[in-house]
Amino acid sequence: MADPAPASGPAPGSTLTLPSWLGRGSDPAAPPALKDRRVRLDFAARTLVGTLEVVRRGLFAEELARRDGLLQRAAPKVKLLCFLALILAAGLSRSLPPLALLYGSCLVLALLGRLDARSFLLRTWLVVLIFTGLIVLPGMTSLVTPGEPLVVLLRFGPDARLGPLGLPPEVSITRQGLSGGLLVMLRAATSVSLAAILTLTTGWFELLRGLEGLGFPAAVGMVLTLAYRYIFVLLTAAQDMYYAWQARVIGGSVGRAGRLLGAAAAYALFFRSEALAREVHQAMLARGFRGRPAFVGRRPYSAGASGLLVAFTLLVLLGAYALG
Amino acid sequence: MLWADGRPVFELREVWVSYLGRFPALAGVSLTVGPGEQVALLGPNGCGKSTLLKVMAGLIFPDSGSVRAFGQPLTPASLARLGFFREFRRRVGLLFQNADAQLFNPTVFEEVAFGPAQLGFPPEEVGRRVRDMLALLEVEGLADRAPFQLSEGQKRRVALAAVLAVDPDVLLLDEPTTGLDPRTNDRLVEVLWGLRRLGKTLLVATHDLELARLVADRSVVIGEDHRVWADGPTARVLADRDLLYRANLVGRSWTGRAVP
Repeated sequence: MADPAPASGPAPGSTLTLPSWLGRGSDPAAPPALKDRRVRLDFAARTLVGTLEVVRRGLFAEELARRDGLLQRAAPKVKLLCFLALILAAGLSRSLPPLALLYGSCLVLALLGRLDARSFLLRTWLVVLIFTGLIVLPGMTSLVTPGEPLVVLLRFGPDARLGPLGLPPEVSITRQGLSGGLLVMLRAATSVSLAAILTLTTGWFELLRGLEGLGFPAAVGMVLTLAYRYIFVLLTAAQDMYYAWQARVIGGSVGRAGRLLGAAAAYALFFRSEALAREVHQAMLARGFRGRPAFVGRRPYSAGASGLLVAFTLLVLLGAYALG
Repeated sequence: MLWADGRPVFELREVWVSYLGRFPALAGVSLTVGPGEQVALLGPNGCGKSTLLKVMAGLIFPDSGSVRAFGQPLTPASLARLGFFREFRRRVGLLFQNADAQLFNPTVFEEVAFGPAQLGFPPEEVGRRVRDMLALLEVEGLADRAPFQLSEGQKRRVALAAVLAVDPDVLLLDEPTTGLDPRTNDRLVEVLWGLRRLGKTLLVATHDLELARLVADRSVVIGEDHRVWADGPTARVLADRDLLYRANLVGRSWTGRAVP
């Protein structure tokens, strides 16, 4: 087909007339206040990109779960029971020595699961420091836990006041506060590490099989599976919608318009997700699904690996009991 | 086999389907498909091709009219019987237009294994089928990948592998070539030729006339009014340029009319 109208204006015999302004170029003068404004990734975009990254990492875990480590060869039900027992023990420990032993066992388990030590430590401690450290920090000071001062943070001197409030002569980290704070943080680190090792070394379906073996309803498992899979599709759609909007406003003001866009995007995504859910259900029915999923294992589980894991867990639990 | 007595695979009589009771998708469609036929359902976007495939797959049920599959009524009541449900799902496979809707498992391996596992094949057989299908569609290196990580072409291949893993006798394909690069397109056509040699019944909904020419002996044209406009040998249907133009399947250049 030959291009009938390479030049502007209607071609002879054409039924299509392009608007006269099309092709003249558009360069409206930007308001002076906007000229030097920095275009930056705002809160919505950062949240979307960050969430997508988290989900991507979660899905990368499937590849880690295929590595040939001792943990990957253990039966999912056995593995789940062992890890739940260790997490319970960490929750019940009331002193540092048993918690230190339990955390040490996490590191051994991470090695048995052939996890990358640096990435594993970074991931778990980042979570612990952000979510637990910030909460525990005030509790370590003499303001909350009086006791023997170890490090003086602030000196106000005697009779210091802030308006009507009387201030203490000094604020310090106390031995008692530090001990209590470390206990909470180590407990959190142990629990987070155990949960991370379990999910990183177990395929999603294997995890569900393990849960099903412990009486967890299969239908709930399937709902979780679908949520896990489609959260990424919907987040990507939200991100695309956001970028499309950004491309058209060319980095202009966000503020109220951004909030309106967020509301409109949520509305559109709700309907998209509803339509997608209906189609996914049809796709499942078309392949013989009748409400109870059948999971297929990728590899035969090793009784030896399961036995070793049980023996290791019992040994750690006994040690923790003896220490604390 | 269900059609051992030579009965048609599908018999649709005056099927009407509408969405929300207002938007028509099929307006009195009648169609009979025999065992081993290769049929192209041709029509523009929105004419009801996907709806027709879903009706034949027992996923959507008509507002009025009747659908029979293998001589038996295809209704919610008949599909509620486990025996018919299992037999029907084993014999009829549907490739969705939206690959993202079809790929709902965490990894490609589990995706392809899903159908055989649901139908109760033993794990060794499931594993064998998955490996063979991934090799057939040249995606064996993707077994551990998550579906979201795949390109559109790879998603299509995996979705087809997932459908074929059940070894259905009837294959319903909804726009199978959309978004495929030429090499993947050629591979798909080769697979469809192979299935034809095995005597499978194929129904391909498409507006890709070249695909219809390559894989279908018979073509059914559905118009924008959601009715069947033509039904006959593919060569004869594709030779009727006026029909194809009126059905919005080709542009003016195809008909020899002047393009402004």
